[in-house]
Amino acid sequence: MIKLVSGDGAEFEVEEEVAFQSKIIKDIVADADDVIPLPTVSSKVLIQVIEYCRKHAAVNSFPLSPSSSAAAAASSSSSISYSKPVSDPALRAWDNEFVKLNNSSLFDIVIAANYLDIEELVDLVLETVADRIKGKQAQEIRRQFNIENDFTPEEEEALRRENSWAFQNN
Amino acid sequence: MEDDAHDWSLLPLDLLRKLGEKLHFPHRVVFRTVCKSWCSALPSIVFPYPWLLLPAEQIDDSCTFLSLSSDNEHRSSFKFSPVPPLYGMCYAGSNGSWVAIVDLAFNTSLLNPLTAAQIHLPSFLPLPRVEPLPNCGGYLCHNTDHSNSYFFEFETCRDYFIKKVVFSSNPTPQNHTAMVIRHEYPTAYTKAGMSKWTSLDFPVLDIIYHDGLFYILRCVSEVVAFDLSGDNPVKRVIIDLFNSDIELSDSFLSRSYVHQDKYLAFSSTGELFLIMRCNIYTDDSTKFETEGFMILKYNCESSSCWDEVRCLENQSLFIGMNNAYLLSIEGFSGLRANCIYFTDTFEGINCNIVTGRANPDIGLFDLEQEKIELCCMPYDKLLPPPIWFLPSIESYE
Repeated sequence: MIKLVSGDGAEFEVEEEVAFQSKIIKDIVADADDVIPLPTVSSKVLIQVIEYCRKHAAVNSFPLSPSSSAAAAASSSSSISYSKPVSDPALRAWDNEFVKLNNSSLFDIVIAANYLDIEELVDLVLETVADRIKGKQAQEIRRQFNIENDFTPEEEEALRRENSWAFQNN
Repeated sequence: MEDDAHDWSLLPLDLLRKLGEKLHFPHRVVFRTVCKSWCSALPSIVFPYPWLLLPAEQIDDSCTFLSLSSDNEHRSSFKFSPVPPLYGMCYAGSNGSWVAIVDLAFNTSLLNPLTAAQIHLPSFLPLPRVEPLPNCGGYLCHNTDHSNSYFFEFETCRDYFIKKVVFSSNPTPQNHTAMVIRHEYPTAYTKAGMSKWTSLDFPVLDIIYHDGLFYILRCVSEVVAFDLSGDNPVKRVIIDLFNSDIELSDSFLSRSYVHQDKYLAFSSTGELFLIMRCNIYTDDSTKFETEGFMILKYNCESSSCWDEVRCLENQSLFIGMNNAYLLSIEGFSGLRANCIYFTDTFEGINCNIVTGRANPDIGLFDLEQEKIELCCMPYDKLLPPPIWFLPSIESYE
């Protein structure tokens, strides 16, 4: 077991394979003791990240056989499906449920996942955020993601002029 | 809005870049107008701007573009997704933001990587004298009199037989025409509603699509135009072989070239150009290398039909497997005028498939200085050549 300590001092005991979803933790454990302080990660976020890692560790320990994953790859090349090659539909569905969070929570998770080097989780969150950006105008995106418009009107106009075609067709 | 809501302009730059790269191009443009930090996460997107579409290095749903700049330092490559899997595909032609892709089984389609729209064309198989041996990973090719047979791997065979696919602008599933130039096999055409390729019976050096017609360069300097819009192709001779003559310049003649590629290109004002690319063997005789160019412009009033052009002024040429074009580069920072930007072609690499691709013959020829500058590519593996790609406004209509 590995003990993870959040920034606010909460301790979480997790199995090795769960903690090793994080490449950073995997590297640390190789040459240190098994108590890992994570000062920049709050307990609230750490609980969510552990939940994700626990699920993925469980699924990854029973990988699909090479032949069935090859078949999945072949079928995806003939149909028009461009989603990331998460071969397990059940896991994909679980992931989709997992990211049904507000933007602020996703921000915390992606920062933590990036810090812990959990590539799949970073990807999952950014994919979700990208879906929330698509097709929206800049003003709406700023409102949803709590961003202040720091362009001068002239700069904004120059950017719009540079790409005027993109605004006509949305 | 929650009180503790995070300001997403503070997301680290590498995460912002990853986020931006998950968006389609029109959305990327909006992304860059949100705030300064988001703007800095993605390269400036200027349209239309010629990019190189690089061959896929791994199996995923992205493609990589290289934006050329006059200095190698500011040359930026960026990924774009989602696109259908491109690994193992070769780019056999491009026109605007559409690319003709061919897989190892000779399946062919037209793809717009910016919108992921795809139009399937008839397969190039069956080819007479070519026998698929899937268990051996290649094809058995018989020579014309069936006296001998050779085994080629799938990739070698495809890249050898398929020289170029040329197709109409802004294709749709209901309205598109395409022609293919093949080695050892006659040129063929297909169009929306046809289930196979129909062969034409004459040799072809290059084809370009322009303004509703396919212009075909036949032997030496003869050009015929094909109209494929009706039930049967309609042919019109533009430049007759017997009335045209090309005077090779002294500098061109003095070079001991071993191989010549010819390209047709149109300027935006409809002038027709013929470009000759002369190649020599590299010192170790393993592949062709571009040595120089000669540009001719069609002049119906000239006795030889073709006048040599030594200066392109504010324009540059883009040649390779693409529908070649001459582009006014005013307003495109980073691109140089009066240059020929060139990429490898399959023909250039075919002489040695093993070593030929290790050093791509991709770069620019400066007409004023008469000097070639090769571009460094971000890969050094054995991959099919990249292709010029000119994203345009039309692709979003």
